[in-house]
Amino acid sequence: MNLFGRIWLSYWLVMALTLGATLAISLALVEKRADDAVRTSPRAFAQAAQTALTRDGRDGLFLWVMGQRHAHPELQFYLVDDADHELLGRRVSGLALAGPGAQAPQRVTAPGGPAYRLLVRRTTNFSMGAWQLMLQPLVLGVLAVAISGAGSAALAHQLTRPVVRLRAGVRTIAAGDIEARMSPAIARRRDEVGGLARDIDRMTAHLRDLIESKEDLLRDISHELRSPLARLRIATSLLREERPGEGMAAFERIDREVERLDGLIGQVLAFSRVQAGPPMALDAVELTAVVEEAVHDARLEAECDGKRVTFADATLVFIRGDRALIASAVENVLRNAVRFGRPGAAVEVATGVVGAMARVRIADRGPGIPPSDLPRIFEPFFRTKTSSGVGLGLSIAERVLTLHGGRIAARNRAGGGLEVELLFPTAAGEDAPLANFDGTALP
Amino acid sequence: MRALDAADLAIPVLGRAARGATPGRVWTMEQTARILIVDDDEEFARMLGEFLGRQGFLVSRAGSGRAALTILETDTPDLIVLDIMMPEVDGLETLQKVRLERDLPIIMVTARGQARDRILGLELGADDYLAKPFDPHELAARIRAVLRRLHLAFRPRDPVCLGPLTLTPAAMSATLGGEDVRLTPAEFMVLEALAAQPGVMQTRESLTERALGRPLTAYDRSLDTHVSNLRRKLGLSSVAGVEIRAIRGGGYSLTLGEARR
Repeated sequence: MNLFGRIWLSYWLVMALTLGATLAISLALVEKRADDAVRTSPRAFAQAAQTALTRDGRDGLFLWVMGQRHAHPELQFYLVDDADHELLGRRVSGLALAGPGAQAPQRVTAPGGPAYRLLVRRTTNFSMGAWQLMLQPLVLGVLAVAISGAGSAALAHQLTRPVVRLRAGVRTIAAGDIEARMSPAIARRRDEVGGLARDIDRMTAHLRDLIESKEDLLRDISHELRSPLARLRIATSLLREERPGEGMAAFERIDREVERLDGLIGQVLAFSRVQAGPPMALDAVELTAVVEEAVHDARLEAECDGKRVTFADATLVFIRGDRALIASAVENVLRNAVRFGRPGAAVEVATGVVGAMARVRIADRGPGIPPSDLPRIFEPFFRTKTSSGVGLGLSIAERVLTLHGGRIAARNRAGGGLEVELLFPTAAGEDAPLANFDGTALP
Repeated sequence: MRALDAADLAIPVLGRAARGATPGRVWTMEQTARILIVDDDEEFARMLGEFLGRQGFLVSRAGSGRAALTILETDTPDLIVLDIMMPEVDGLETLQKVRLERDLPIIMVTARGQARDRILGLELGADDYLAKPFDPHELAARIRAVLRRLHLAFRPRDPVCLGPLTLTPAAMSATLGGEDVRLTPAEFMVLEALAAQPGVMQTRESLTERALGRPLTAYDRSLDTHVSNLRRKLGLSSVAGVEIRAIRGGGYSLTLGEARR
């Protein structure tokens, strides 16, 4: 049960019980007082009336009755003279001068004055009747439950609203928007929730700094490692121009190694970026278009070696994630396939949908991987006895797939070659929290 | 130093005052092109200068962004090779400052190896981009491509009119529905190439050759960056109906006059 429900129900229960008990006790007290007054003191009322009448005559008695009506709203006082006229002019013809709750009339007389009969009884007139109806235990109970229910709901809402808004802010950050801040309305609060919001802001600021300094460091590393390579490349070009025709094979070798080192530096940096689980963008990405771009680039590369890349495209398929990372995963697997593929044979690329997963299948006709080594090919710098290392490309791809909640698998093909399958969750089949998060409808 | 945000950098490009004005000196095929290399890696710049010198260019060097700006106050090279990562005034800032004043062709180079640098550089109006380490022959080819393209651009040609879109090659300026669209030289060339065959799909290969004057290579996203900038700039106009469409299979086409609403 959520926080709102818990606070609401517990406050409601406590308030309903308290309210019910209080009302029940007051009701019992009022009843008891009325009964006591009626049962025990008609004589005392009569005596007081007698005193008033004796002292101030009829006006005195009138004032006394008015006073008693005020003092005892739960009781009615009737003073009827011998001609059956009521002192306050009320009709008494239908009045039972005896009955439940009524006492035998007391006589109130003054020496040499008129005589009255005093009737004291529990109120039965309409307005008091309504009040009594209200005091019925069942009605009271319903009222107590309704009022306390509404009150507790308001209270619970008041208490949980900042937490709900805090949660919305935290989810924005969790979805990768590291620049997001808690809403100022929350962060300004002086209570514990406000403190929590400010702490979260401090924490994300710290994270932001860490990520930024890591990015800066990676850029610096790239610069420091590639600058000597850039000088080396130019130096060999100069040397080559100075001695045309000499040591061609060696120069070409140097250029190739420089390129390899350059590629390796790029891979190490890319791997380091995905290894730390960077804050990821969660955009809707059209997978087939990403694959198409990678195929296009791979073709340009493959053509030089007399290799082919075929692409069986599917309908549009949308996944959610970081386009650059997804592209690098596809690109790394595809480059690997082109590199190991047999000249003349095609590298086959296909996209499609399998259940709730979007699938990219990249298959080559290369040497394949010994079955015992298959589980290990996604490890960094893994190498088999038969082939040179594949570097970090497959490890980067594996990491990217994991970050996106997908998976990667490799198997040997019948007839030779390796087949790598990349499975991404489709945007439609993603987890509910991500789908609800920004509320945007996916195409 | 903290990297500049795209938002900070976008304004000066759009507000470039000197658009349309011809540079002080226009390189012609017959002249020796003068190249300014701006790089804080002295040894690299020296060797690159030597290489380009042998390739027939006249080379001068600046060791920092600030030094480059000082040189540019009195001298106008035909093309600048600009390193991004330099202390104090870095390459992107230098590019921005140079672009505020004139349409000098600029090729950015960097060893930082990040796609964001390329996108920012091209958005700020760099004509091309190379990642270090590069084959110096490739740089020489790109320098020639940029210069040849500019040379062709300054040959007198009639303005092209396509619906609400008007391109004036002599001034490298474009208007859409009478409103000026501020384009970098490279963006202008891409738009002109697209406008040459409206409604027809042109491959990325042929567009790269026509507009950037060089063949398309693998993992080369320069053309796509230019196109995405163009789309944004054309989309800013209140006149609808001019669209650059991406075609499956790797190409683009310019479509006109199809009411979207």
